[in-house]
Amino acid sequence: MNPNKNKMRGSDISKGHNYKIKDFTNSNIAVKLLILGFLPGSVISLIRKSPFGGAYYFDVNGNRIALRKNEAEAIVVD
Amino acid sequence: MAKKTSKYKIALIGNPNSGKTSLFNSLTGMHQHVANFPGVTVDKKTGILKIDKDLSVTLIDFPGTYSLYPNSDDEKVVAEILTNPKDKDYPDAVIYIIDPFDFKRQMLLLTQLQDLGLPVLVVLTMKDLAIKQGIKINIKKLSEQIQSPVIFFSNKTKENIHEIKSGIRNLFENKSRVKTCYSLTSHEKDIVDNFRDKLNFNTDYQGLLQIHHSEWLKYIPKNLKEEIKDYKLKIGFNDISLQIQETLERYRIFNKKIKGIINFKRNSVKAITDKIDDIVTHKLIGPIIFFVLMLFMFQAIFSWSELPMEWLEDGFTTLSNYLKVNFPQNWLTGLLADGIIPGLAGVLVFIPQIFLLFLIIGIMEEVGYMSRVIFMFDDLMRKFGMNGRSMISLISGGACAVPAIMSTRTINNWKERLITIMVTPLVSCSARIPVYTLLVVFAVPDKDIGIFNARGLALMGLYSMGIFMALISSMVMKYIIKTKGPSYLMISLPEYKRPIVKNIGLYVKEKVGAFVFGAGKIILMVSIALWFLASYGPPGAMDKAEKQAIETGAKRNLSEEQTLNLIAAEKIEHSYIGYLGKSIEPAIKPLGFDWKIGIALITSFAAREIFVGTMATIYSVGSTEDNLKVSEQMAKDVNLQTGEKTYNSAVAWSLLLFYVFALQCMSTIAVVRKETGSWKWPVMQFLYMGGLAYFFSFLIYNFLN
Repeated sequence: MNPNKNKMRGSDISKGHNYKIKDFTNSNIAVKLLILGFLPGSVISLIRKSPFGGAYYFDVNGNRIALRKNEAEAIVVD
Repeated sequence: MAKKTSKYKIALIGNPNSGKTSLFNSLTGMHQHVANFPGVTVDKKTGILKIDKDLSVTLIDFPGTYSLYPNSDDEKVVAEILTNPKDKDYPDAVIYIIDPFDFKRQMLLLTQLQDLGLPVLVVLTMKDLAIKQGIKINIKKLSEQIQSPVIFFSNKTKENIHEIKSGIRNLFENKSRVKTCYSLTSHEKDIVDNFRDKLNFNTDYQGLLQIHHSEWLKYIPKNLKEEIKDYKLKIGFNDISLQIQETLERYRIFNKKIKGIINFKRNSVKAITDKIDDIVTHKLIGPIIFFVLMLFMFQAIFSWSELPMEWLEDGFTTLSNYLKVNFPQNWLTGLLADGIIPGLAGVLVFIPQIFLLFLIIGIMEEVGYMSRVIFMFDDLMRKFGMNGRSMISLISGGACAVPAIMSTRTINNWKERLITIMVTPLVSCSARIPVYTLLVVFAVPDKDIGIFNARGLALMGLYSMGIFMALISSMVMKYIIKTKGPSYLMISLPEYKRPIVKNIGLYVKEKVGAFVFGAGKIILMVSIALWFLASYGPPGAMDKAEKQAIETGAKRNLSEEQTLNLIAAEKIEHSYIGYLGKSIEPAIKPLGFDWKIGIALITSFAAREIFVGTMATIYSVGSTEDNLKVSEQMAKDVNLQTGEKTYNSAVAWSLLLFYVFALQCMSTIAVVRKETGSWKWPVMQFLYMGGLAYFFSFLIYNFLN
């Protein structure tokens, strides 16, 4: 997991910018994200955070999906 | 071919929110049957579709799922059945439903289904909306590329429903095999070959899935599970990384195939949904909108249902009185008029409330709002050991815990679901209202504190206490209950869409039906038992009591009605239930309760509102219609030993708190037993809630005394 240590994660991205998914850090989460259409190369952007800040509302390739913080952290973006 | 049979089973499969249930409703209409998949509480809806005069097929609506690698119990059902050709629900063919707005992702499950060797008919839904929004699909080319027939369908217009029918017929007529999408790696092939004789599968991919899921698949015998596990270790079969590999490979293959087939210029639909979400999921406005909606919902549930509830009550009272007057006075009339009818009434009067509750929840779900609620409150609920999805259950609990507990099925994590089930009955349900309104009269004087009525404030306090205790309890359980499996949010937020009336209608019908038949059976049984216990006593005891009451009535010169009331009161004291009440008196004395309250506690175990009716009987008020009369009689009751009034504010508060916390509801116990699959949880729930009730009643009684 070290090569990804300092990379930007899904939980770090700021609103209104497009990012590209590069990789995942946790294969247990990755395997479920893949099923939902989070693929390496997919374009991801943050629409907003939940009122209490613990959940993220993403647009991934045009699909709207909400993730928990730890789930978003498993996404390495560029 | 046999005529009018439904020997063919067709599975409806699709991602959540793909429009699967809508299509199922369109195809089967009202001819649906809801049951459970064997061994689980996941709903299995089946319906018959008549293709033409000599062919009918059975459609099975499977739970929505994203892939054959399941995340929740619902999804596991799909994998359990589709990997097992021996399963009695194993389909002959599949209708795969795709939401065109989210096309690519759904190809994944399609290729998995094809690799199982199942004939697949693809139905793209929401044709009207998709065309309006500028989605262009080359259906013919798509069909060629994915090697399955494709039909573009609208649940609104239903114009080409005949195409679906002939599509199904064709599935059985030309059985050309689809070329496998995913080829097993040599590693995977090795393990499948190794178990080829011991497992039962149609295609290698099916075998691979059996091996992947061998740990939890029910149809794989235990010794074989061990053998597979050992072999996996031996050859270094890593479930997760192989699954990742397979998923990526599938995406790679079909992305190439469907390139350029679907064109979607992003325009207004996206914009509309995004505009709504800007407000509805806004950090501040979002939760406010939600709470206003909830306020409106409860207002609707309690005020709109008032009138129909009265009608139902009056109807049952009339029926019961009619029986008593017009039929011979024997045990059967008694059982009907005093046991079964009031028992049924106890359940059925709640139908208007349950109906409204599910109508509103159904609309919120149908338009796509519910997933936004889950997104907004997931993190908050997690702090209490629950899940965003628990919010829906807790809210429903304000009307009735039974449907609320049934709605926890969508929670994918077992621990979070269990906690939600365990604490939901602490939210004050509508059955507590009659009890609260009767007792609050004795607890609080009728005066104003500032601009508020003191009794109104007390009622609000009781509700808040329930909610507060639900949150505290869930936090405690978070640390006690051991985790079973990981927890995910990962929820898709679908396009907002206009609700289809028929879908909501069927949804409400199903939920109300589940309530009536689920809770109804139990309440009926208990009310028969209670009727027996209250109508019969040890030999001779009741006759003696009746004789004495008649004598007393004559001595005191009571009117006929007063004498009858006195007889009823004396009889219940000497019935089995009267003795039961007396026998538990030592246990409830520290709470300030006497044997009469004891009787009411026992009878209202069936359903809380029975408390009022029992009090009416004990205090010999002929009718139970008027709370006021009951409370007047109760106010006169004096403790013979101390000479003080029985219902002082200490006793009343003690009773109120008892009803806030105690699990006085047979139907809840029954539904928890059903949903958790064991007696362990309902028993624990009964004990912990009873413990809370006893503790707080004891505390307040001794504090106020």
